[in-house]
Amino acid sequence: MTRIRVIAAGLTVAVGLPLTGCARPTDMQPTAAHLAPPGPDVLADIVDQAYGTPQQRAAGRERQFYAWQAALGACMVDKGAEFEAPPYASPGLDSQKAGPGDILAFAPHREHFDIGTRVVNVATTGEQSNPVLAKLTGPAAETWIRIQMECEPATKATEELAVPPAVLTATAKLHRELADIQQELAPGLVAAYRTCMAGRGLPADDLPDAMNIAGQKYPNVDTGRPSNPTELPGWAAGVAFERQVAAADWQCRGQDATRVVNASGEKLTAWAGQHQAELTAAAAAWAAMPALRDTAKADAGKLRGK
Amino acid sequence: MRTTPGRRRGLTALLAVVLGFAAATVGASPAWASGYIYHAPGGSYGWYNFSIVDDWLHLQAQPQDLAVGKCYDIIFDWDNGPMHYDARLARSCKDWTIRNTQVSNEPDIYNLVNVQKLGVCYGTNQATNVPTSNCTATIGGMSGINTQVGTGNMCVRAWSMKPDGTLQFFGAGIPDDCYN
Repeated sequence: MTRIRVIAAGLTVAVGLPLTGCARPTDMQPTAAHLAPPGPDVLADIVDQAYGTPQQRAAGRERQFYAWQAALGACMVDKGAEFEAPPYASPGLDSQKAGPGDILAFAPHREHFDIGTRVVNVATTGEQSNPVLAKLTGPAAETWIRIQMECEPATKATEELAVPPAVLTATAKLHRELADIQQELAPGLVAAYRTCMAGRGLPADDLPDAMNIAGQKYPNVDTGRPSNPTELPGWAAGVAFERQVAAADWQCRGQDATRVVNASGEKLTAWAGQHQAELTAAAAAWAAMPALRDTAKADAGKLRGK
Repeated sequence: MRTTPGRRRGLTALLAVVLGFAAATVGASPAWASGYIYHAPGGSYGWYNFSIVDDWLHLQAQPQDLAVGKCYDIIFDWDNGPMHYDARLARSCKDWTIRNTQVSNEPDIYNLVNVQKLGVCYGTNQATNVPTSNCTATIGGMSGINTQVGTGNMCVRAWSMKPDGTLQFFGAGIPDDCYN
């Protein structure tokens, strides 16, 4: 509700500006900067709609997993194979800060990138092989794998189900707008970031580079079976390094990012007004995701065959 | 994941060679390319087929003579101009068995304009490009790719196959967002 209030307030002010402006003495006319809602609030409202909640995004990932399994399994059962969907190994992330994107001036301040958290969450349960295949050997296993390969095309239609199309449309347009604002208000940020990070021994051109570097000191984890990776030699050093890179990331862009976001209230309010239908569609699609997850999980659970 | 202008010019020139070869070989539009990239062990290779104009991609990883615990990847990274776009990866950890992405059509809204990275890697599962001498790159380098899949790495969309032959897929969320 907060987001609707903030954006609606901004729109009201923007629309009402000529009228109220005419009714006031010239020296008392408010400037656009005074009227625009605070940039951080507007950005947060847009992000809430475009990115949904962490739980909704997690539901999307799980929905895609089970839909993919159900498509594969239905095909295999039709071909006479037994199938049982493995359990979903969740990377967690229910507490993560959402986007927007990897645009330096708008990505949020993070104390870490959740890299270690993701690995621990998956490794704790372990990525499972198919329970049916795990019981087979020799020619029976080869036959099962052959049928699985024949059914691979059936999975294609499920690959995009983690993120609703309405969200992809809204976020792609949002990212372009944010990149344009960054270019206008902080044109030197990308080059300065690269230099700043390099000065800290981190050869990162952008945020994805920084995330990639941040993960490089973790020990390799075999997620194929349940394990506790925090007991591995070098894990603590990996955690510390991830935090060190995240700190450097903010040191190298935080000042500009804060300034740009604070100055973006008017631009973002206007953008949100122009794209309100897309943002509303994205929010509605996210809201539907938990139910879609439940359906996909139930569908996958019905498969047995033979 | 980004390239400098100088690097990009170099990559574009290299890509033109690849595309020219493809066009000369199959008589198709120079807007697309197809080919094989070989890297030990044995005759292992990655196969690619993509169109820059129509934004589609097809990858296959074919390992031969894999050692235990090792996997074979083919990795492709689109160039999205000033923005990030998740790399694509096909991985087979089962010897003599292809992992096939099938044809993936990328949405028009992302304005994919070129290729940043294309290569194959053979190495320890989840760290196939460490060190980068594990890789043969046709375009760009493989060092800037996080090759962990299935662990919530949201920077790479991955089609993988476990050592026992189980197929897996990880979609990596929003394509132009490395975190969500």
